[in-house]
Amino acid sequence: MKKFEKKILKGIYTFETKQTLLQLILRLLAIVSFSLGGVMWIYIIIQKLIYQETLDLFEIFKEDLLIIRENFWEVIGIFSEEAPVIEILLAICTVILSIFLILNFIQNFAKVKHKLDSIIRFWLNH
Amino acid sequence: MQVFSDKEILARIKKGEIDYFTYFVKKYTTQIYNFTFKKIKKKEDVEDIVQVSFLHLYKAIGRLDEKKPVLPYLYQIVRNEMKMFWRRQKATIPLDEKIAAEEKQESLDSELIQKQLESLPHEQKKAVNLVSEGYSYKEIAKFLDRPLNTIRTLIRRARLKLNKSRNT
Repeated sequence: MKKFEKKILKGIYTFETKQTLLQLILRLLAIVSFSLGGVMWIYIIIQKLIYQETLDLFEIFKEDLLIIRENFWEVIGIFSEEAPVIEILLAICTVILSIFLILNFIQNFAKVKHKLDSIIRFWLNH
Repeated sequence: MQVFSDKEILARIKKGEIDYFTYFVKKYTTQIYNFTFKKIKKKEDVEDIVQVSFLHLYKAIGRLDEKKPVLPYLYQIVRNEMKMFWRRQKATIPLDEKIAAEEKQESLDSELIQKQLESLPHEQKKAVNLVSEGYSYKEIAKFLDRPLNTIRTLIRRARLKLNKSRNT
């Protein structure tokens, strides 16, 4: 019966090893690709803003406080008109998604670590 | 071996400490094996069913209620697995019997046809054999060096004779 019990456990560990590794790889892939996506969108937005010279608007903040106070809403208005809205929305979505994935990964890390420990211990002993 | 309750083991497995599943395996294998062996006598089939049942239990652990004992759930899985096993057996046995019966009938039919063919005159037999091999009347006429209408007549007569002997 002991041999049979070992056979059962081997089947379970084989299943769990595949499952854990697959999940780990998929999660890491998703995190890396969404983070890279976010960085890429931010880079595109900045490039666009530099090309349009929209960032020059913020040079007003180098001026006196009175001038800043007078022109603040106007500057914000012009910026929102010139800013690439779709790219900004996409960047926000990708960044939020990658943050969510990273937090989820951190939250489940203890569980995954325990599983990996058990799996390694099992395969080293068998 | 330290003794843990099902509740403790379940909680630990849910936390990712999957080595605690060993306790379930050690605790219930003999019981489940004997239960299955009473219904299915073949050792290999019993082992397969028990193994698959434990795997199903493991897969379902995330959904299990920690307050309830595991054994009834495991028994239910085993029962379902046995049902599936019997269904598979049922699905294969009658089919095999059907095929065997059909094959037997086919061999009997072909024997009978062969006997009836033997009773036909030589030319008619040859013509019928060629038809059954898929040759057209024209090809048979050419092959036997006879006019087309003669071949048609030969085959018609042979068919009539065969039908007559089949009916008698």
